[in-house]
Amino acid sequence: MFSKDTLRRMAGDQGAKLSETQLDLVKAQLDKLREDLGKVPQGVIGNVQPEMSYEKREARRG
Amino acid sequence: MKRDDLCFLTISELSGLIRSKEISPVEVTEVLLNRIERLNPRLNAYITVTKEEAVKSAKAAERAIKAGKYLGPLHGVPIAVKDLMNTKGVRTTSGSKILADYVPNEDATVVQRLRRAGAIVLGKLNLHEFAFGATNENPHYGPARNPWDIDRISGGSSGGSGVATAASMCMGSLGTDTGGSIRIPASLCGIVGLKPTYGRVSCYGVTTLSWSLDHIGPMTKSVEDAALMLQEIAGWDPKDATTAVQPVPNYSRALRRGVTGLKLGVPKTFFFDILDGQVEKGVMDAVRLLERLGASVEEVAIPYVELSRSAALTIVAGEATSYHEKYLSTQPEAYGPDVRMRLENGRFVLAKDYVKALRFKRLFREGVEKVLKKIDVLVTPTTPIAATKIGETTVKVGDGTEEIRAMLPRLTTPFNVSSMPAISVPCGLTSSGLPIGLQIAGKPFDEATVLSVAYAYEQNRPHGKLRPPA
Repeated sequence: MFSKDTLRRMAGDQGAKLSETQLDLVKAQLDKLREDLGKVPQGVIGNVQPEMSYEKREARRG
Repeated sequence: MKRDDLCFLTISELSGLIRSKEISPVEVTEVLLNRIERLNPRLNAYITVTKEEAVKSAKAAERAIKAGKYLGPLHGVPIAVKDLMNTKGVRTTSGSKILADYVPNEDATVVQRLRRAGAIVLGKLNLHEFAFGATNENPHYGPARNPWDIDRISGGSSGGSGVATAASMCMGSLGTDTGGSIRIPASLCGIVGLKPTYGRVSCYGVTTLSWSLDHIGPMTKSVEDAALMLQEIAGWDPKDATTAVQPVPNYSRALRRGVTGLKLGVPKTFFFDILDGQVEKGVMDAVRLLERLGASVEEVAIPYVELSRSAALTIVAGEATSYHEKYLSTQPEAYGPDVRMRLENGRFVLAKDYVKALRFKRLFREGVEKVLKKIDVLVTPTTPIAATKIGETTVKVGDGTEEIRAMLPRLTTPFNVSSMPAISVPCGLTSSGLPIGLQIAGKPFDEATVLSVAYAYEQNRPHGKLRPPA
């Protein structure tokens, strides 16, 4: 998880002008997404490839 | 039938009358344009009405039909499209201030295909800014108002499509769906909304929200109309690398297969955990009706469904912010506050998290496909709640208070992540007179079964056709 200080620096580096409240919202949202994605056990997702060619697989099938 | 009542017909009813030359495309187009003129100031469904172009197309259709050149069930039928689908020579705002003056020089593939089938485009429909939100509260063009109660949201992001179709300001419409944006307004406005399989319909010429999750589909007054519109827009497109080379079956022919012998899966966990009591009753009554019609029902569980929304948000954040990078850097103040914050989130999503979300997407899809090996379709509520008041941010559900923006896409987004076809069909009204939606999701590229189950329900439901007071 990023600290708020890190987020503030990242925002500054990208030229984004975010208020402290907005940074709090970003942090809460990112923390929640990362926490959720971390809930799938490594043994389950460890060998799964990213879904980047779903349409191609279906196309070959057709 | 009174001339003004033509607008209340379904596409299939109207097309029969056009084919037999009992009704002229010009006549029905004029009726709809008058209705738009009367209702749009109140409902705000259209951003742009293309009156002259529509009349011109209607006259051309009339001439062709008189000359014996009938093209099929959409010939001479007035429809409308969400205002993020490119229309040649007609501004396409994407519901934004940033693209307020954008005039494309070609049609999106779906628009081109509808015109090729003889459909008449009445105009461009309101939406949540850049399709990035589920309420259609648009700070630049105003909210699309729910015709069942104009103080309530239409749902989004294809809210204008939901309102215009429900209020008979067009015969049918197109919407886009990245987390539920076809099915949510369909549910809240009391119409049919179909999100086809990912890759079934070309997205070329349509402003993207998320390349991995965007879908385009019909929003109509009946299931048969959804089949008719899907028939014309489905199929491989050389301009869109994500479209699949899959045969397109005859959807209308498949409609009347019935549900005898079909297995319906009801995923009680997650889909029925946080739910308005009246929505639950409407959906379970629909499930029991399908059972009486010959389907068997079993309870199923979908692995990791509770995490699918976070995976979708991670993917959308990365992809949407990539698309919007230029505008976000140069004119951030031109976005509405809610959409801007969602885009700002994407600046901080790491590549490893984005890829992890795509890995989850595959894991999740394969999990749902396993469940669908044992059953034919999944049946769930479309939205856990009915339409809320414009401006409200939270809603009471059972004993708890929930955020509306999280509630609306809660039950639809899983099928964007799994890429599977899903339809919303009206299944009654709450005691406040607001529509409830039944969601039916099926196997990849098996829209035919999804449509046939929805059709069986629609033909036998106790409340018949629903028409809003507006």
